[in-house]
Amino acid sequence: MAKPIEKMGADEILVISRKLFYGGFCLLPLLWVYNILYIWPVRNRADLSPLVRRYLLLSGILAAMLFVYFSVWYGVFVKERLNWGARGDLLTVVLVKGV
Amino acid sequence: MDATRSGTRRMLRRLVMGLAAFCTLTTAQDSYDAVYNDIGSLPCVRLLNATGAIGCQSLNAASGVLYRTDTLADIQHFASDHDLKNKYTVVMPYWLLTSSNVETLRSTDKLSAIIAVVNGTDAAHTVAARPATINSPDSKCPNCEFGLYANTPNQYQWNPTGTDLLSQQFDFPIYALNTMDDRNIMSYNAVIQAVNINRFKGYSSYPLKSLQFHSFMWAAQDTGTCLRKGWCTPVGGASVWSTPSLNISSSDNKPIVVISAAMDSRSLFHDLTLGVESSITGMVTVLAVAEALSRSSIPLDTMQKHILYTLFTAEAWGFSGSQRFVQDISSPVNCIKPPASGSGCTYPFFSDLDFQHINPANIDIILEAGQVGGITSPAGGSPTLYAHIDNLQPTASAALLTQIVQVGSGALGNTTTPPATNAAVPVQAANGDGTQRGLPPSSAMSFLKARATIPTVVLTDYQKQMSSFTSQDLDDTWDPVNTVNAIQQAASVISKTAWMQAQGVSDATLMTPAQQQAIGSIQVNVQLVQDLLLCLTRNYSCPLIDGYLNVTASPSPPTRLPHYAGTLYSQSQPFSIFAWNFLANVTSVKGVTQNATGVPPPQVTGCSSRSETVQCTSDQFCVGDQCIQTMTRYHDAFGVGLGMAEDNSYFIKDASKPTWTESTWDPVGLRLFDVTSPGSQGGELAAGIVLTIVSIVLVVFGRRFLKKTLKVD
Repeated sequence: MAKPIEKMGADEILVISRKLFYGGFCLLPLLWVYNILYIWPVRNRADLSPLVRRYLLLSGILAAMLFVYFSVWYGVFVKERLNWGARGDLLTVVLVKGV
Repeated sequence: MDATRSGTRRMLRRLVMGLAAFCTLTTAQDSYDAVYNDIGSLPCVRLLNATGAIGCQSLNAASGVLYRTDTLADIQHFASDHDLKNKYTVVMPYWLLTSSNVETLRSTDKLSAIIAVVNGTDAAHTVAARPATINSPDSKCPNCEFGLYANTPNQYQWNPTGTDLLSQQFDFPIYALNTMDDRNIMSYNAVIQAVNINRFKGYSSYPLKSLQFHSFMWAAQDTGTCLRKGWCTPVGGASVWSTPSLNISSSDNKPIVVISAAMDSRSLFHDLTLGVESSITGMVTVLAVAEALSRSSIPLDTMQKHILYTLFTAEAWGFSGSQRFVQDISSPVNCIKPPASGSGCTYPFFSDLDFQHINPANIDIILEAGQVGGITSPAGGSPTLYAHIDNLQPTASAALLTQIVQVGSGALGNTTTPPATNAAVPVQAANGDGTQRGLPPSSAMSFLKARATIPTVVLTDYQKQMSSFTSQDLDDTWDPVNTVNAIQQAASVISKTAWMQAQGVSDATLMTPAQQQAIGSIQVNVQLVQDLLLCLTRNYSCPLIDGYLNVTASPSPPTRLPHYAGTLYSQSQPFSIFAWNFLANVTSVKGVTQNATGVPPPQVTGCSSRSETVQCTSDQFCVGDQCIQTMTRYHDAFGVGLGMAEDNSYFIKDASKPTWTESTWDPVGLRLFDVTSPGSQGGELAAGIVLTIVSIVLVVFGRRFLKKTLKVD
């Protein structure tokens, strides 16, 4: 069984937080969300490097920005994809019959 | 020992599982049969063009309690009755299916589907119950947007009372009932019985009879979208052209006399499309002309001009058949991919290239038979035939018009006197009243669009207004006397005019005595006209067609077949096949032309009945059990706005030209079942929920109890 976060050393947490933060740039934005959720219980530990808090903050901002971006894109896509013709079909994974 | 035992056990297990599966299947089928009654269906389907869609679509499986409306008052009563709380399937006579009535029903929010009864045995559904005047559901000028006068301001409206129902879009199912055969009589009886039970119960005492519909159409938006996704197929079929001149060539400089008609028509329910007046009368006329001319005592292939019969398909869809034919004969074929074997071309696709023998520049005159059956609503008196000419180039056709009227008046001396029993149907110039209306919607327009100066006459039974049966599902009857007379006269006038033209005679009075004598051999066979009318409408297995196609050999010989063009390459073309065989037979060389030694060529028979021993040579066809040589060919017909790519997919080539496609559908069907009252449906749901909760509680407590008493973990 993996070590719970509470029992990890400050260095270990810093390494994990940094990995999750940079990992998010590999088109894996959920890692940012995971970063916040995972580190959240120990965020205020005194021995933690201030870098961890910065990673969490940046992860949160990026995740929120992407959330807004994807929501807007989803709305536009659902509303407009039928009007985009062949390009719209190309962007659609499952073509819905009858519409 | 062990192996045998496990083998036996496995077998036993399989047996038990098989039995269990069998039991579930039978009970499922049994309970399905107890709940549902599947009914044969005649649906309205979705069609698309470059700019939009028409016809019916239902995204969800609709179902509704059957409700009967026999009159306009019933519909209004349905709309205003606030005690009706359900969704309803409205059963009405076909003639009540008008745009305004449909809108009234749709706006109530109580409508789930419509069933239109075209013909029925119930008093409200008989012919006698129909109003005297029924309007055509086609547009005010059918297909005129693709016709000769599309760009002419204020073009004449040939169908002014047309309701344009056919071009509307319905987002709920519409089905037809028609007592035309045993299967459909059963469907009709089941639905009428059910709706009568509902009416008897006042639509309020449950259980009531309900109908569920499946008519999900894949295609949406327009032709471009659905073709791209592969969810629709072009509307089209096979046109047929035929000439007695086996040696016709594009360089022989011999003028061509074209005799033309359409083979298909349209209506709301494609399974019911007959179009007796809309197109069959014209088709019968051309076939009768071909038969009459085949008896000419002067062989047709020795005349000064070629005779070319053309029967076009998909004409009801923007003159697709004639426009494609004209387009193909007018431009040289650039065959990029020749076929591995045989004739034609693989890409662009042509099954044969013999149409290149027809030089469009040689087309000398066009004679077309439109609606010539004199079938109108309200039923009129004896018909008159009108000869229409183009009003943009009126001088080009003036002489031909005079000749047609002259021939129609019986001015050819005693040889052309019609049988004394029937009064001759008069033939008049349509512009005789001084109004130049131009040509009515016709295939000839496609030729004139390419070259406007071809002398052209279109013969119809109307002067100012098309029959109100145009594009009707009700266009399924004719007058046994008037219709046959009118067709006979039309065929007679066209055949004699064509014969004289082919002889180079433009005035009957200038014929030589030999010609006077010879034209007497052209007599239209009235019996043939009657047979053709019956064969092409109600009985495809009639002796005439059976003689060519041996249809009665099939386990269920076809009777009434629809005249909707169908979808390209995916549906059989029974009328094109018959027309091909008939024209091939009457235009073929059979003893009339003698070979060099003066002996008629030997006739080979038995190619169909004894196909294993008798085989025709490669340049011959087997028609009616006889090997013949003929210049009769099919020609693909589909909208010229569409193109076919190398991978056999279709695309829009020119959105301003016809681009009609039919949507692909899931299997359509309707089934009858009992529906309980909304209250008891709620009760059933509540009982189900209570039962589920009780069983959960029982399981939980039961487990706890068992654990405690048996002391197991």
